[in-house]
Amino acid sequence: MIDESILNLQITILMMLGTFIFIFVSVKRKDLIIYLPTYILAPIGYFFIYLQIFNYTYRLLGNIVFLIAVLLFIFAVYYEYFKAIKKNHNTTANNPKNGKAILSLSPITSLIIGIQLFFSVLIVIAIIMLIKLYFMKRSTKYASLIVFLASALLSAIATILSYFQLPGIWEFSFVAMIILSAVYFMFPIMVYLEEKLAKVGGKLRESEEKYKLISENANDLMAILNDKYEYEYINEQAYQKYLGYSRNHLIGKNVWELVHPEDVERIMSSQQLSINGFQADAGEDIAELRIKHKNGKYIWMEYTGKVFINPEGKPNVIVITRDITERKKAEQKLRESEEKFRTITEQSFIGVLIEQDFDILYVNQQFSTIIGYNIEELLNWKLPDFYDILHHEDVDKFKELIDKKTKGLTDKITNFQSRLFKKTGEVIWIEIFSREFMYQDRPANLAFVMDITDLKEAEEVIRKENKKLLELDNLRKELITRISHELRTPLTSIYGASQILLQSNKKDVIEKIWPYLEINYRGSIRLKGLIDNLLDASRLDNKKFELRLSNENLNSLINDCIKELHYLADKRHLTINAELPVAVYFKLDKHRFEQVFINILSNAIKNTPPHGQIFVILNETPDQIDVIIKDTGVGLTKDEKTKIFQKFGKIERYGMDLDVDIEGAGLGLYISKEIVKLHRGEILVESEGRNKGCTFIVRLYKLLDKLKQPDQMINMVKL
Amino acid sequence: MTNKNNIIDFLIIEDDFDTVNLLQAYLKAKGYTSESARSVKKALDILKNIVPSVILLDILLPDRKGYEIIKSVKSNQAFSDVLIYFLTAIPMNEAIKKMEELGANGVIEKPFKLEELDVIFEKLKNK
Repeated sequence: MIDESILNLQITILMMLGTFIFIFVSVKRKDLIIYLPTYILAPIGYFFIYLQIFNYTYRLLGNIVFLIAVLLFIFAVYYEYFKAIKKNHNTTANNPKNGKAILSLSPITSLIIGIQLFFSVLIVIAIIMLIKLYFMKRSTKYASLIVFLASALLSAIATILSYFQLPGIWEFSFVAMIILSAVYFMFPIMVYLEEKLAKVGGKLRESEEKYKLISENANDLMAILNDKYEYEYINEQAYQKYLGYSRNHLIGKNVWELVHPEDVERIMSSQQLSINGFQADAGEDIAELRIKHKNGKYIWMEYTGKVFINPEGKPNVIVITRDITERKKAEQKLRESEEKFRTITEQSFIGVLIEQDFDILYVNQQFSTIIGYNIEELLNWKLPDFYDILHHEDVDKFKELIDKKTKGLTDKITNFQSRLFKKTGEVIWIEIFSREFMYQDRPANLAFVMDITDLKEAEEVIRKENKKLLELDNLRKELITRISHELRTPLTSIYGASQILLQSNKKDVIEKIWPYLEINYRGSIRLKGLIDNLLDASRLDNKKFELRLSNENLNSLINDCIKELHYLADKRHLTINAELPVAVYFKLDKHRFEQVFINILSNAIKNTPPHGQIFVILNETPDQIDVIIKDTGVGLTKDEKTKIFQKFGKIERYGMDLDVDIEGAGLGLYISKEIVKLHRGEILVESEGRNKGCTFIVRLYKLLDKLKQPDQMINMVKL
Repeated sequence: MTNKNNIIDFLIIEDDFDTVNLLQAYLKAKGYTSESARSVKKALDILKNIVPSVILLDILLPDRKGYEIIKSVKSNQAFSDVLIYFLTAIPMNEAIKKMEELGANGVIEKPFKLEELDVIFEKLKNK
């Protein structure tokens, strides 16, 4: 038999120990504080039960205190339970625990009780675990509650039995007491351990959730393939987005069905791929391939594959695939633009060179062809190496350019021509255009080089031809001057001699010779006029015609001309009527203007049949001066009007049955027109047609802004 | 130096034989004395001994340009009163320019009217 009082004391001590453990645990688990009254009251209750040895009333008091402790425990559990329900409907139920009625047991040896208690603790843990396992998600508290209720029931039965001193009571109470105290003792430990475990479990769940989240929301396509290349898992969202497939479409499907046949072949033939041989240690494979979209189009993707052994011991492959269509497009564009660039530079007939920090970074084929050194050689050159192949007369230009470049002064296009020795020793002319630009964030030079040897040779030919032409032209001018000089010299003697003879008394000379003398004289005058006109025309052509300007009275100038031609007019029985105001002054070359008026007047005389009239009128307005020379002669047709001012524009009137004088070379009006033009004026002609007479107007503008051809005139009107 | 007694009216420096003859005949008929030279060298020789009142000077001469005569004449005090006229077939503008530049008195353009010499005769009369 066990001494009940010793048992009660032991239980009391155990309970106090449980209370200490509880206090220790509840320091970290503030929420357990609600159970604290139970843990304080329970040992007190048992202590009173123990005190029954002095007075049996203590036992009753102890039972009451213990009952209160149990009720408090139940209350606490339900309080938590309802609080949790209120807070979150999903929360799993908590459970009550504890408190037991009083055990009234017979005394027992402490050793036996200790050993029995130890085993009963193990038994209780096992029971709780079993209950927990059975209910799975139920917590330790819930399992403990059930055990407690069961042991409380046993305890109550034991109390009743002991109260009435019924047989078997001791054994029964003993078992109930042990279970109760063991549960009581284990509760906080179990709770504590469960919390710890819950934490670890929570972490696992959390990381699992995270991975799922990442996988489902990733932009990369993730899949697990089995050893038959069939889909076992896909992150549906990404697959749906990029390839249009849902999970149902793909799971169990062979991956090769989706890959472009060309790529299948390519990848299959690549032995490195682990997906091919399922070698777990093959590492990662990366390849680019086209995968069929649900809509049938192929999309460029990049996949990374890695073999792993699944829990069942079979090789699987994790495949991560990424849409690289944009990248492929960009690559394609890059390739195209690079090809364009390559075509441009490689096919260019212009040599291209890129230089940076005196290093030759790039030369195209044409550059190499022009210079005659091959590309590999040139790429080893430094910029100053070009000194050696440039002609010594041109190398300074190049050095200057480099010098400027070093000082950072060449910000624009520089250009120069130079002679250069090809590798073969042949000398060619090149033209270089160079411009600074930023190449990989540092200043560099882009140079274009052209072989301009042919051009230079052509230029040389042109230059020589030009020189020859200039010489010829000079010779021609010289010739005119010389010829006129040569013509004038004999003419001088003929002309002079004629004059002397004509001045002598007609009777002194033999009568028969006289008419010939006259012919001789007239011939000389005509020849003289012709030479003069040729020379004038030549000077006008060569822009060597110079004016000697002075302020002249036009009135008297015209009168002098009329006087000079009176003889001619008389001979043709013509009347010259002049209407001239007192004096009109204009700055002009007197000699040249006499030439103009004599030319126009003599034309009028020559082209007016006998007994006709010639009018000379001078009109002055604030802006201009008009000298009008009008005749009643044969007039001009429209066609003739356009012709008369041209060089050698003489109108041939042979055989036209017109009573006119037809001498002259056709230079007179051309020269007259040019002379008047040089005086900032013009000659106008009016005629209503054949035999309707004609009118010449020499118009001089007083104001410079009325100039018709200012450039020419300003140029020419120099003294 | 120059002999003051060797004074003539005209020195004709001209290479064309006919023109010289013509002029000398005309001047003689007008009552003037004249000498002629057909080259610059010859003219300079003549000018060593003779002081003419008028020099009629052709510009294009066989040996040198007639202008050189003017330079010598102008540099000699003894010739300060000599009238110099160009008698030339070169273009009038050029001749006039030269005339002004070298200080000649006038230009007679070949071929010329005999009346053009009247200006010179007038000047000689007024002297």
